[in-house]
Amino acid sequence: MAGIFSTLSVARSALLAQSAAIRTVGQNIANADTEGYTRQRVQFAAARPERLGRLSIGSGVEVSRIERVIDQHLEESLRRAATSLEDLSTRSKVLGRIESVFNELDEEGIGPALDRFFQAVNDWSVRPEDSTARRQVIASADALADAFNYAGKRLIEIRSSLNDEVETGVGEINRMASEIAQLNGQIVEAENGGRDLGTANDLRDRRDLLLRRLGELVDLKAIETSTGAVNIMVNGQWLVFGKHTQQLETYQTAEDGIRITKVRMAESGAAFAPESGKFGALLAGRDSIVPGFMQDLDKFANTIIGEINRVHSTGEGLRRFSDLTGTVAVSSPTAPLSELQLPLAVSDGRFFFTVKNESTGRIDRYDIAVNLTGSQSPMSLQDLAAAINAAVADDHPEIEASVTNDFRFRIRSTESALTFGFEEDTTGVLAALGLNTLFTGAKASDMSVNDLVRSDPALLAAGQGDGPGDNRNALAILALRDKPLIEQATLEDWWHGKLGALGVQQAQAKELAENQQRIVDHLTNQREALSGVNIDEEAINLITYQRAFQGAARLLAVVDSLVATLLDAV
Amino acid sequence: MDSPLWLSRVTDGMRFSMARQNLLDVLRDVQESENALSSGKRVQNLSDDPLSATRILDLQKTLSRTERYSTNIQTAKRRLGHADSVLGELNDILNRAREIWISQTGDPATAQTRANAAVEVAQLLDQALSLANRSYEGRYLFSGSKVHTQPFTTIGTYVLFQGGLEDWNVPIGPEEIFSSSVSAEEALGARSAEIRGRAQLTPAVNPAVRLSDLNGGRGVQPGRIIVSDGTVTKTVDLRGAVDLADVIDRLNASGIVNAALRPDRLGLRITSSTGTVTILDEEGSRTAADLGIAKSATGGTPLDGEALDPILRLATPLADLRSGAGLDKTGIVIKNGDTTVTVDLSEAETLGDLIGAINRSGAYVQAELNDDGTGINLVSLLNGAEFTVEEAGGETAEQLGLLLKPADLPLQRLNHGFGVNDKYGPDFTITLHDGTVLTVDVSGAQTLGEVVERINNASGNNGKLTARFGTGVSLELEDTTTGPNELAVEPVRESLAARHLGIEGSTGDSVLQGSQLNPAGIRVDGLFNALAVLRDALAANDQVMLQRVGPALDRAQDRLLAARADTGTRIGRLEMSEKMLEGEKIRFQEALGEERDIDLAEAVLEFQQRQLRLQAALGAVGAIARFSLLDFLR
Repeated sequence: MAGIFSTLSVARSALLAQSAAIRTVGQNIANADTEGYTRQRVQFAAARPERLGRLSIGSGVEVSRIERVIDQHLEESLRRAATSLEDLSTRSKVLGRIESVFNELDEEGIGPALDRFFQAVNDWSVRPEDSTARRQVIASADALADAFNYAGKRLIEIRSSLNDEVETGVGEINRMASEIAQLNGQIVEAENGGRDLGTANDLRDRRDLLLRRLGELVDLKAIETSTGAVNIMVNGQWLVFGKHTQQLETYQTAEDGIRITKVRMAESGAAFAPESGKFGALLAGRDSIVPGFMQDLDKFANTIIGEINRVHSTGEGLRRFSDLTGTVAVSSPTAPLSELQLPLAVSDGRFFFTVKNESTGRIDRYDIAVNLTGSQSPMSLQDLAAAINAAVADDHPEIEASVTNDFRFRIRSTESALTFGFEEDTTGVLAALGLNTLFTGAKASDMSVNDLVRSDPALLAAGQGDGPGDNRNALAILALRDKPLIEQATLEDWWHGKLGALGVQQAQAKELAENQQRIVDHLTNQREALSGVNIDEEAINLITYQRAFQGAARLLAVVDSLVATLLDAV
Repeated sequence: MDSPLWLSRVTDGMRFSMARQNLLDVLRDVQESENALSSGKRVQNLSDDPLSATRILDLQKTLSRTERYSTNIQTAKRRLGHADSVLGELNDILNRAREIWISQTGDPATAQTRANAAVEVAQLLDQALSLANRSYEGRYLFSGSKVHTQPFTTIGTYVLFQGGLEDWNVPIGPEEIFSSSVSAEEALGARSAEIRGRAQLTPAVNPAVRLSDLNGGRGVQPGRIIVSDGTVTKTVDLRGAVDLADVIDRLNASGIVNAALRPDRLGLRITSSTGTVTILDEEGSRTAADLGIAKSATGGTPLDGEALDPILRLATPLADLRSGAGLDKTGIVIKNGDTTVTVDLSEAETLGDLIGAINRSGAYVQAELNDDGTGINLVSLLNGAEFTVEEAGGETAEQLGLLLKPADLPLQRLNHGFGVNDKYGPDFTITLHDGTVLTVDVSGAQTLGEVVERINNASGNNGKLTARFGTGVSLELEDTTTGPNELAVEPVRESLAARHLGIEGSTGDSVLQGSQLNPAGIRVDGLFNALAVLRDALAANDQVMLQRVGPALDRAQDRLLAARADTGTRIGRLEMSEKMLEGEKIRFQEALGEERDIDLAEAVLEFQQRQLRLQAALGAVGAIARFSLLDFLR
């Protein structure tokens, strides 16, 4: 027969169970704002009944389980959506930074600088003899070079800061992977190797949160094993396996004069190359988006430098040369020019080398053949010097072409009355060697105005030998503006096309990121709806548990009075 | 932010995060509105509206160019306007000179009045000089691109032109340039007519000749050609070839033919070991045809290409001229006014050397390649002087075609430029030994050669009398008939033609020697020449000379007026372009405004709406935190 005291134990079990439930409500309320917290719910179960003869009588209540209210499938969708969101928004941020470098709508930057340069050339062509107009050309050429330098530098800065972020990212990934591995161990232990699977609520919450964070960085694949551990694969390589992690390690290379940090798996040695997530987007930004724009920028700079120098090199300024050293140093004076890294493309052909006797006005014109690619002995820098020397030797031994100690091309006249110049170069070799050029350099970051011209604006070649008012060369430079010089487009049209493409790319990235943000918000709300804490709801639960607790306490009092009644009867 | 209404539970976290998100969204919108309002621009970043952004960039560029073109047009107008006013003043001077000329030609004038008038004309000449040497914005108006070289100076009694004749071209549109200067030659006749090199100098080719100079300057477009020796056929790629050496190298590199210059160096010669050569153009190319080698040869005869006919360049060797026969380098004698210069060409190697030697000779003569690149021309820069070219003992002038053959001499240059005066109708008769009388009419004949032709073709002549050129510049008549009569040339109706042709008179011999016809040299035909001749004629009291000044004054004035008319037309053109540009500018500005600028009213309205939304959002956040069931729990 069930004793009256066993009723006491029923009341006791109820008190214990309800206080556990109240404590869970407390835990839920306490963590209402904790990130990654999943609301917990107490599952009650009737305790095993006692046999009472043929009857079985209830023996109270017990807490069978405190469970997390969670939908694993939803968690995974959310993680994947977050991976994609971080990827898109990082890309959009990178493009936004590039965009800010090239925003020419407020009439600053490369396009407007090019416009101002051509404006100055225009004014100069109208008054080629005017020293102010010449200085204006040099100032605007300087500004154009500066605009290119600045844009090039900014792109390098962006790339360098992306590299810093990559480095930080590696640290974060390593830290999170280690922590997940550690949690794996703790969870397996807490859940008795899987026998109590899914009971280590707070550890699992922590692990889920870390998985989500890691998922924002890289596109990962997480597989939960039967023991409760989670294995993580990234890009076909395992990152976390049970209690073990494969750390990422870095090594340094250099490109464009900045440090580039490469990432690989420590154990397999394979390159770590996630395709998506913030980290994937950082790598893409650093290794392809920014360098892509760098390439366009360099191509633009190179075309401008090359085309303008080509025209400039065969023009004539207010005075001719008596000693001229090219701005370009080559790596070898004896190797064929076509095999050297010249800043501009050169081809076979001819140019005229002219020597003028300033006191008599006599001009001698020497036809110099330049054979760079031909079958028989392509020319080296020394060969070119020899060709000029051979041509002038009979008439003007005082003119000497040579290669300097630092392998530049130099032509010098030792007779003060003799000056020299160039005409009709079909080869581009003069521009490539930096002889009589306006710009130096070959790309955005090293573009500059030739110091020779900067220090003596009279050397700006407006004409082709017909006096100070001769503006044929200036007009030829101006005409470059309307020529299809770069991919069948004019300079400015090509550049505007590139800027437009950048704008479209950025607008698209922004929109995609915004759309993805909506998806993530949606999923987050869904998750919140299921797993989040509603304090009002908890309050209702609290009232329920409070009433149950109060009932159990009343039961205790009744039993107590019953016992007292019995004792009184004794 | 869309509120997912189907959600079963709404948690506290959700309510706060959604409220926060909404608030941020509204704040961002407000910020955007503020930016747009403060900058006045609708598109601030490329990505705001990429299509619009590129249009803005294009419009900004176009607008800035249009503004430049406007400025250039104004500069050009100012320059032309200035030149025009100078030309007007010069015209006044010519008018005054003409008055003097009229008053001093007739009878009332005496040696004394003419001497006085000569002084006035000399002053007019000085005035004209200073006008022609006017400068504008630091550039001499009539000096071409030699803007710092004073165009006209006096050398003795002559006026020397040493300016340039280049146009002051300014850009007034994309790939459109416009001359903002008046040519001294066109307006003032600063240079003489050319002594045209009548000889075609037809240079031979050498391997260094550029392909673009071949075929009379039309050039050769290097493409791909198909070469066959009868057994093997290969394609030879000539693209990128610059000179004939490249062509020869690449043909030889094919390994099946052997290319070289023809022995006479006028074209290419191609041979092969099989004795057969066929060359074709690849479809769409005409390289082989342009090189004159699109043909075939068999049986061991070499394939000789057509003559390549290169144009003359300054670098053309003198040895290549005259189909490779070379030029006699003895030199030429140039007489120009009081100056006689022998130009020694023995050192010259190229045409550039030759031209340089002539230009630096001090004869005030300028040599230049003619426009077609087939020969050289000489012009005099000395106004008021006569200019001739003669041999220096060799054949140089002849080979350059600089000597005028008597047959080509214009009649008006004969007799020191007095010409041949003829009458309408028959001018003279020629009586032969056999009594035949030939009647000759020289009206309308331009050259001495035409006169000879008319005598030889006179009706009744039939070969009895032959007219030909005698020694120097003179005519010779040979009578083949015999008879009692003298060979006699007599004028008809007081025509002076026979006398002026130097053949009036009679002889018993079979040949009648005409007298020397003394052709005049070439003169600069322009304002300074007319004034100088007028001055000299007045000073010398030379009435015959004075008669001749009339036409010269007319021609100088015609020139000046034609130049003024041209200047006026050009200013008109510029004004039209300017108006068009102004219209374009306004349209571009409007378009730019539409693309770039905000609509202020709309922007203000939007800003206010967004501010209201912000207030509402803030209110909502405040309200969320106000109630909780916990408040009711006891």
